[in-house]
Amino acid sequence: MPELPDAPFSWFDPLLTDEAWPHLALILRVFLLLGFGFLLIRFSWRLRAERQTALPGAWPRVMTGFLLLFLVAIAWRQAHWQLFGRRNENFVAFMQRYDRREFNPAHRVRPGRILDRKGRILVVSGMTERGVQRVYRYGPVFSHALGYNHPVYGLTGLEAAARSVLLGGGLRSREDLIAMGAELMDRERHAEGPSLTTTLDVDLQVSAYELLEGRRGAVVVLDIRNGDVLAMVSRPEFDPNRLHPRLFAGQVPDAPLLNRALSGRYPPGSVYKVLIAATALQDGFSGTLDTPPDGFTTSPANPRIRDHQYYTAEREGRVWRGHGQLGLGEALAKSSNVFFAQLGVRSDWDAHVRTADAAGLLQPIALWERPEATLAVQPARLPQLSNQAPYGIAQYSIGQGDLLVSPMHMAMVAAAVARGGQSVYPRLDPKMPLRTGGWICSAENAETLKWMMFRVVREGTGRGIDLAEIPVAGKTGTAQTGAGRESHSWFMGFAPVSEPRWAFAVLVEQGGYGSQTALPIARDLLREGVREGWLKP
Amino acid sequence: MTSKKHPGKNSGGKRGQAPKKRDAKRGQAPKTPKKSAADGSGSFFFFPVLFLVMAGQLLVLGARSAEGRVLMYSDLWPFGLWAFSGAVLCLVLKGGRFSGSSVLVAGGLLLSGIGVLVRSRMRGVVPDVSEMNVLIQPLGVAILLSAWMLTRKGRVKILQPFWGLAALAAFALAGGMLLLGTRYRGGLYAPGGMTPTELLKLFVPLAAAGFFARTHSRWQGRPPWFPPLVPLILLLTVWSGFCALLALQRDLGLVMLLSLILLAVLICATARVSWGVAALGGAVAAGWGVVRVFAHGARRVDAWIDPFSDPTGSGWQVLQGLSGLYAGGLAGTGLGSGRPDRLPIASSDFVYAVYGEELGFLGSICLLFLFAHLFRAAILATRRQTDAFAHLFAAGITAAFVVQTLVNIAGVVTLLPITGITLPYISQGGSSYWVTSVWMGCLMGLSETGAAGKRKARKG
Repeated sequence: MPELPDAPFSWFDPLLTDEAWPHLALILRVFLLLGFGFLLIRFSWRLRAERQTALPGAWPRVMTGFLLLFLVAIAWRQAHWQLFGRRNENFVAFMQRYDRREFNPAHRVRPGRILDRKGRILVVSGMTERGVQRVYRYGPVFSHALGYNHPVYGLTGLEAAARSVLLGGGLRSREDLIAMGAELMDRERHAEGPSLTTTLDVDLQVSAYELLEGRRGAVVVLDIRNGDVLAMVSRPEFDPNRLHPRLFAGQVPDAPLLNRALSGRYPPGSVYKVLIAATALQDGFSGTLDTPPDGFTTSPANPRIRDHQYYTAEREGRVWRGHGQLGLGEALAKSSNVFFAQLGVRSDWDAHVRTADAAGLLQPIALWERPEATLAVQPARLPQLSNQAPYGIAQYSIGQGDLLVSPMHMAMVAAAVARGGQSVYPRLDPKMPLRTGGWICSAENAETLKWMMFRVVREGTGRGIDLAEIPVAGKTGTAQTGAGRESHSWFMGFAPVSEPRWAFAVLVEQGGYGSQTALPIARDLLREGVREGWLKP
Repeated sequence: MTSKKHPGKNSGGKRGQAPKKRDAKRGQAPKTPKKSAADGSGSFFFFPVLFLVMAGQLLVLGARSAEGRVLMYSDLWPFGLWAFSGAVLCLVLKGGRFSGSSVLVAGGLLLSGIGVLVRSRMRGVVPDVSEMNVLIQPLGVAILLSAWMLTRKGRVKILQPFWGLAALAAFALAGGMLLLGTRYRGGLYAPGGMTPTELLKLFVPLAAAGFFARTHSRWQGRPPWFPPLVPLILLLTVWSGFCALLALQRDLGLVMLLSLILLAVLICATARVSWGVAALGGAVAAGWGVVRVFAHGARRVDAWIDPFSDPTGSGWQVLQGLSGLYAGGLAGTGLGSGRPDRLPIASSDFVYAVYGEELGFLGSICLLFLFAHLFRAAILATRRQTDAFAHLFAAGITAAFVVQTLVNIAGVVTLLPITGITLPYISQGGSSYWVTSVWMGCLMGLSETGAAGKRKARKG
């Protein structure tokens, strides 16, 4: 290969460094395009002349027509991406995430706003020099309910699931198309994607958030009539406006990124007895069971299941005499472990599984659903049992053992009771149709269960929430988490009793007795709801 | 060239309305045609093309300087060598009294000029395009002129006896590559990074044309449901063996390209549309089967059907190319102002995406039109052939050029899966460039056949 001289040259430098160069470059570009077009026209004139010397034949015409069609198809396909690429939300999202051409207009496509049920703005897009930035108006209050959309840390939660909708996926209306035409002409201008209304309620969310201050736990409030998620709080929280790399570094104490309301998995303890009661009522249980003071077990090899009063008495040096003969309602009010362990063993294991499935605990339930993405509650973890393992069933019946659920699941159980036995699936998208699940028990039994849960509040473990303003039904829970560790504190219920509107579940990790920690949070939330008029007695 | 212009004008009257309109237009702007009529080289649009490419080159230099690069003399060499070779080409054609399709010459010139612009734009930016092979342009013109000399005025028939040799050479090449080639990026390369399999794009049209010319009488007019059995079985056996050799090298794109060349020759030999339909159906079925068998083929098909199913894996290349196109938009970022360094294999498979990003949708449409004109000129050259072998050979070469172009572009814009086939005259690489030069030379030579005689007869 011959060697060619190579050295810097500078003849063009005056031209290129001149202020006029951008204008000259524009002229050159226009010249390039027009000259190209001019040559093409001349070529086609020539070809017409050349055609007259070709031999006739039909087949070449077919071939030429086919090639022409193919070229048109190429141009159409190219236009689909190059001119109308914004219609494809996956494409826009890909470019925003992975395209490092800073001049790419996709970087200026802004996701739309997220609104609460009354149209108040929760999230809005802003522009910085680094590109689109999401601004979370309420900071950490909605950190888990909405997730985050961050150029470095990616997307989670509703932000991830609704990404394509927020970017304006599937623009179809005439205004959208006109706006897109304008964007073609002016590459700097870019409209915002459509706004998205959620079922969340800012006021309720903020109160629930404040009530959980300093705790680790979650609050879920559902509208039982349609499954709307009114509030979904998880703490400890993070600030989606200021994500810090430390959040993502391996083991973080207290796992602030975890959405405890949906993804947390906890033993439910006594709140689960509501489902056991539903199964028993369905199996035709009525009458009473004896609750011996030293507990109950299925075989001598297994430790005895006792009421918590037994341990309290033991610590204080007293003797626990037991509840004696109990009916179902009284047992629920007193939350007797000995009673429910016996009750659960009387039912078939398949019946227990059926009830849990009817409550919606065994399949993923989408809170937000689009063909391309969903945000769902994953199934609860039920122990693998059979009728041959009665001790496992006994443990299951007091919400212990290998049973793990999320606060959302318990809110769903409360909603099912409040709705007369039929469960309702929670939703974050108000445009979703009302989805009802199975029946945890018949309507009459649900009515019975409802008043039993009211009795818990009137005279049982839930007396702390016996409000003058509003009649509440509920169930406390104190879930043991292993030796030497404080129990998880639960409270679930619904209000008002006669004509229920809200179903809720409160969980405080290692909060001790349900009536001491979780219940006051639910009580304050309901009080505030009644005071502010969000909940009418 | 003077003789070329006037018959079109004179005979225009016979063809009715459209040619008259064209005459009227020419009457408005008689400047260029008259000048070109006076001296031959003008009719190849050499100077318009030169100015056009020069403007583009200036834009590239400006953009490079704006990026902070020091302009070197080596930045000017590709353009200079292209301009020089183009001038030599036009002068030799004029001296040799070229009477064929001037659109092929001018279009080829413009296409190679665009190639120079795109490649010089990628120099030092895209890793593959760093060293400069100064021989590509001059050697390309030398090859083109040799091919032209060899095929013009019916001389193409001297190639006919060599068809068997071409078939053997194709086999030897495919087998030899399998034995001696080294693997790089999923393809086989000869020592030195050469791709001798490019030569197959010459051997196969020659062999196919020779075979069908020899058995011509048996194919003519036979429908696919009543085929000539002996030649068909022979053809299928040899072809499947050959394809197997190539498929073992995992060069499925090349198998497809060569099969479509054979198909085009077959259709022209039988002169029946039904053969085209039948063979195309068979080819699609075979292609589907092959893609099922070969994992990398299936991956490409999956990435084609839904590039977003694995955006950072199999869909990455094509999505980056499309991102570039979207960033370019309607008018493009301007030559030299895009970011080809963001594109994987920008210099070969995805060179059209680089072009589309910088010249925009409008520039891409222009390029597509340029290709359309070249295709049309090549098809017209094929239609001019009276000799069976020349006709089939021209058909094979036309098909090679057309398929190579369309498959590459269709892959970039996701009309077809990515095949790893280069874009003629624009992609980086010597062997591809030279093979395209042979095609263009042959087509130019073939386009001369019969044209003059016919014209004389018409004049008389």
